[in-house]
Amino acid sequence: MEEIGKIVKITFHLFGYNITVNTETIIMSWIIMAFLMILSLILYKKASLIPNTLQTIIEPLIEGFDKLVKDTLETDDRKYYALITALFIFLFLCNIIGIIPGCEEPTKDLNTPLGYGIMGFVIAHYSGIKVKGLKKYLSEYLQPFFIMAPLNLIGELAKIVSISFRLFGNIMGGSIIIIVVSHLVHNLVLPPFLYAFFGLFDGTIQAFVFAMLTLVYITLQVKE
Amino acid sequence: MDVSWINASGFFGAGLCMGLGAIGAAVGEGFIAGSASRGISRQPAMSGDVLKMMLIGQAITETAAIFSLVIAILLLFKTYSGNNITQASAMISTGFCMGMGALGSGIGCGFPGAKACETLARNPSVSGKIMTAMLVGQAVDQTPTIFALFVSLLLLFMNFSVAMKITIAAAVFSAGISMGFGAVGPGIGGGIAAGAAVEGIGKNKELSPVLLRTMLIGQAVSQSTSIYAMVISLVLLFVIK
Repeated sequence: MEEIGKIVKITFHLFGYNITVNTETIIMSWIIMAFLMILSLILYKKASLIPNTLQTIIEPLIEGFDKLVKDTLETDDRKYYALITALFIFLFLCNIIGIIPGCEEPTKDLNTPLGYGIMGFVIAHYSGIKVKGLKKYLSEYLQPFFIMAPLNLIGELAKIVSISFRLFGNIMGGSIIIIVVSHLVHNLVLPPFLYAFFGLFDGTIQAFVFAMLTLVYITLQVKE
Repeated sequence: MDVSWINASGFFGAGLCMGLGAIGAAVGEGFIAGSASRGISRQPAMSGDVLKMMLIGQAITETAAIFSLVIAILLLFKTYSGNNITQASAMISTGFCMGMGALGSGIGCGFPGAKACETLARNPSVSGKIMTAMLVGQAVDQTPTIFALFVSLLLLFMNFSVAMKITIAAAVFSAGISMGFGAVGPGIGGGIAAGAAVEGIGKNKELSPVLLRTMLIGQAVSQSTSIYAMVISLVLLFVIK
């Protein structure tokens, strides 16, 4: 039971600083990135009007996201579509990689969701400033009274906490429950169903929710 | 202080956490199942789709209870660093915080799920938009629970081994109470907003982006009270010396 919440890491000294590297998280993320790059290269090379099997599987997903982003942002501007789709596909693979024996979900480590949460936050606010102008952007923090400015600021920062802890809590929670239940039933019968629920089902939904919330935060900044 | 007291408070915290945390999600899932039955009786041809929507809505609603389960397991199996009254009060406080935190959004997540099942039976042509609105509404509705999870994890992994004063023990205990009670109301309120938005999209699908934005702004405002609770919890944890 010692493996609950444990993350493999190495620490080394460099220029007087202690630097910690979460090796497992980084290696797993790189494996997924390499897989996605190779897949996209193959798809790009082999793309044709008469689709092959792989293209038939991927195309509806891409088209669905294109429509979703268009509907939510209410523009034909495809600037954010690539970001949201890539975020979903990457996080989806991150969440379900745990079902392969020996692999660990990178999203189980808080640093991964926090990184993507901060990325979405920065992109949303940068687009907000670009579309509305700095003056109008800053004046929104003074709504409804100027006294509310600190609380509005905390409310915006709390969005990073909520979006990243949502993903982290679900994936880490799922992995802890799988470890404990597998231990209690001596790895008989139950674990595959738990992997199906927490890995495949919950992982897909949480990846979609993360991508969708990033899109919604961008929309809230860009619109109005 | 004897080590067995620390273990005892850990058991008490775990019981509070899972006991309170099971209430909300169960009530919310009941709402969804009831509405799904009503929807199927209205439109038997859609029974398969309504059932799928019901299961997805219930699975998301369950998240709050799953967070409670995780914190309860951690309370039961973790080895503690501190060995004093502050550590003991932190264990009970963690359980209370996560238990109450899961109560509100468990009930609240039931409303959008229930409306989604009913609306899908009434207007099958908008199933994709309803699903998206339900998922986003429920996910945002769980924000207070996630704040409670955040405070619980802080309480669980903070090092209390040097703090021996009774004021610090009281502050740590109050941090859990503040966040726990603070998360109940916003969880239910955000769910009402999400339920109404899902119903509105079913009635007038062209308005779905506007309704989604209004829902999110309304939920953000209703969740500001849980942010106040979190600020007070963090002040109690980090400022009181």
